[in-house]
Amino acid sequence: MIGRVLPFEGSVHVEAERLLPWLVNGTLQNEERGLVEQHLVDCAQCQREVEWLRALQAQAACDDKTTDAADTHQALQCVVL
Amino acid sequence: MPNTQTGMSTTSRGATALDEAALLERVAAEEMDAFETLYRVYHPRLKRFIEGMTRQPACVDEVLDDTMLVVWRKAHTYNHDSKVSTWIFAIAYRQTLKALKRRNAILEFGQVEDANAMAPGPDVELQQHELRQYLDDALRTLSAEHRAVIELTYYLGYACREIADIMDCPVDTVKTRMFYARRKLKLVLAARREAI
Repeated sequence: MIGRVLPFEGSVHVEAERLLPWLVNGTLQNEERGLVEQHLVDCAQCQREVEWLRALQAQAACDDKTTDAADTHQALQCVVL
Repeated sequence: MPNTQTGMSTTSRGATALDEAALLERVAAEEMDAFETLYRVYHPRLKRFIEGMTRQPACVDEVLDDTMLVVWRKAHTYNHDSKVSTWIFAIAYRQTLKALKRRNAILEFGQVEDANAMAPGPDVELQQHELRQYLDDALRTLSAEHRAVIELTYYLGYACREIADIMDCPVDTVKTRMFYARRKLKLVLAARREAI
């Protein structure tokens, strides 16, 4: 059967995993964003990584002293524990 | 925090790009009030970035002053290829690396300072302080370059391409630095958890 050449699944995971921080900070665009979002649907490992990275970002934002103390605490717990 | 006097905001990047380019042109023309405005707008973000990258509070003000001195002297070389913020953070990044090199040479035979002498508070605060301390300790084990990528991504919200411009390296290098920074951070935190 002749079909489209799809990237090897492992290489998609490697690339998507490397791009996750910028999906989380909202700066990923177009093709890269599509690739990561599609990969995330089926990859539990990357889904967990996104949760951790979101917490890391949330605690960084907490340093602004503008966010709720409980949010800070929750984000820190998620990152550290 | 938004600066209502100048109509600029330090939080919304992009929207102020034109204003900032005009401001930098006035700095290039040696208008002191324009420089003061630029200093006020950038001070909080630069301070946080340099603090995050060095993890050495004692040298933050010095690097910040060095950075703004270069901005003042080199404003005429800004060529609009990148956003003003990217240009300024690239200067801050280079100045921080330089300062760390100087400082590490001095500290080589000494002990690295411990800047965490906060008083213990009620239980929850103490716990939060401890969590923050674990994370700070873990971040301290990373290289300055790795911490720079983390600060630029999570605190300053830069895209990978912009970080590559600031650090003057290929986009792939930024991705790789971030990947290893994440991995090391997790390993150090996991080792800490096991030790508790």
